[in-house]
Amino acid sequence: MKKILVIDDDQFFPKTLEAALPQGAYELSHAEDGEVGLAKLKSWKPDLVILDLMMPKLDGTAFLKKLQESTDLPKVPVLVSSNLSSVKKISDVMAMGAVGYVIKSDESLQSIVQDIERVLGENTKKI
Amino acid sequence: MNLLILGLLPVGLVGVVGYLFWKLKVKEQEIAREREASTRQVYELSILKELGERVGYSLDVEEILQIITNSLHQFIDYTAVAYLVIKEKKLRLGVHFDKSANHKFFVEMKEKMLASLGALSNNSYDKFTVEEMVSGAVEMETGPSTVGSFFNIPLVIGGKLTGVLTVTDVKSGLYKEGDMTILYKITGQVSEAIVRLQRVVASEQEKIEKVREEYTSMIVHELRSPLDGIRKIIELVLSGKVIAGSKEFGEYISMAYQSTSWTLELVNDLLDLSKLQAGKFEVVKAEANIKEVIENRIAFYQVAALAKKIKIDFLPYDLPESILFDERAVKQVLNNFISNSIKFTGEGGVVSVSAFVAGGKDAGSIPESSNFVFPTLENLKVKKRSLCVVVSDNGVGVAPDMLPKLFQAFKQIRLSAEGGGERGTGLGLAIAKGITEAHGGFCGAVSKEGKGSSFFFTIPL
Repeated sequence: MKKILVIDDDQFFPKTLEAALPQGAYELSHAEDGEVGLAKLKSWKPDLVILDLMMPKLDGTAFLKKLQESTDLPKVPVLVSSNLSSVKKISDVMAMGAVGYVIKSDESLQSIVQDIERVLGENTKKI
Repeated sequence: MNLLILGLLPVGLVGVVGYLFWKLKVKEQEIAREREASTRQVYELSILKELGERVGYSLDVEEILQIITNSLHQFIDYTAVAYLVIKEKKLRLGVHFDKSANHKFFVEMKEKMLASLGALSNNSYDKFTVEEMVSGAVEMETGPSTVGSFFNIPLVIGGKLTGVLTVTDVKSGLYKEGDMTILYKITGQVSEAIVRLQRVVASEQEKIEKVREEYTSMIVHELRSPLDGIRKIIELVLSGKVIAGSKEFGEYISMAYQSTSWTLELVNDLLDLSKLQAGKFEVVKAEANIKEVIENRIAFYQVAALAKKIKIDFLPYDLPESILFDERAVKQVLNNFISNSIKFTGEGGVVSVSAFVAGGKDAGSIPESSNFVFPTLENLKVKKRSLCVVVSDNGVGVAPDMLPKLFQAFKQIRLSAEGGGERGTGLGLAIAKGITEAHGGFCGAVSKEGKGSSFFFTIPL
């Protein structure tokens, strides 16, 4: 079972996403900010991170920066999902190594699930 | 012998007198020079001062040149002083006549200026239309008609030639280097001042634009999030992944309800805030009993406080029977203070609401409070006799660098998300500040991390 870590201060998003994912195919864990996210990344070793940008303590951009600079953190594909839609923000985040950017309110749960399956599928092929 | 002495005496006398006269002449020249120098200095100072004041809010080169040309006569003699500035495809010529002259004089001066501008910029201005503005003494049919003395000062702003400043007289051989130097100096200073100001204006505009963009994207983000949450819940129900009547269904409906309430609260707060910012928030003052209003709000929050085993105390000190204030708006401030205190105070904590009168001549002292971080008279900033309401708690407290940011719109939003489950719009304190200020009062906070906070507002009586 593939493991997905959702780092988002919104309590509802991980719940709705979990309900939308095909049953039995994925295991989902939730971290409410970047700091908790970093800890879970090390201990839980997810196959994919779904990262929000505006969060308390350590925000999404700072999380990506840590991931980029660190040598001991596992290299995991990061799909950014946020309600921020500025072109600059999107290009900044993509430049920091994110595999995709989802503007939450522009996408249905169904299309987010497809994005997840696409990223995880590509990643499996590489290995 | 005597005769010789007598004969030489007049010669000696003449000599002495001559020497004295020469000495006096030198002294006179010195004085004249000094006077001239000091006049120049005074002029320089006065014109620089005036320019400093006016350039402060003018970027219009022409307006600045007008100031120079209008005040030049204080130290220099001329028939006419003029400026020629380049404005896109036009030239603007401004001439001020101190003395009357013939039209031919004007034409010759204009030609000389155009030639100078052309030579300085290595450009031809033949195709440019020249707009003329002439003021001062009148043109005469008969008067002097040729330019005797003439000097030009190039006007360079930000490394670009923008025009020339010209001083002319019908008499020849008038202007010395000193006169030109001073004008060079002044135009140089003006040019620097304009460049500096242009830079400031540009960077300020950039800053304002950046803040505005950030603010808008923040509002958009905060409105999108709950609405998107609701839509995704509906999507789940529509897709059949969550079945109506199931346990999850109830959970999702309550999530949607929370998101809706939060969106509504945010929209209301945004509306209040934009009214406050536009100065259109109407404070409708009426005589009312502040003690009763506070009691009413405390009663309202008792349920929420009890759920966290928090005790709310009320400590009124010699309050007037009735005070002039907007009851609805002040209730909004109290709601914000009390709900925040409950939110950021742990189980079993205490929230205390104190109300007293302080400030003015018979200043009344601030009640002693050893249990809380309490504001001093200085913190309250009361100049006149004012009602002071302080909501204190022994909660988590606020870091000193965060304290002033709390009252700015949208700075607090992240912090409130941390306050466990419940969210605030982050606009409440900014609105409270606006409401208090609309009453002529002051709104603030004192805090110590780990010990607690006091949020307060004052209303002048």
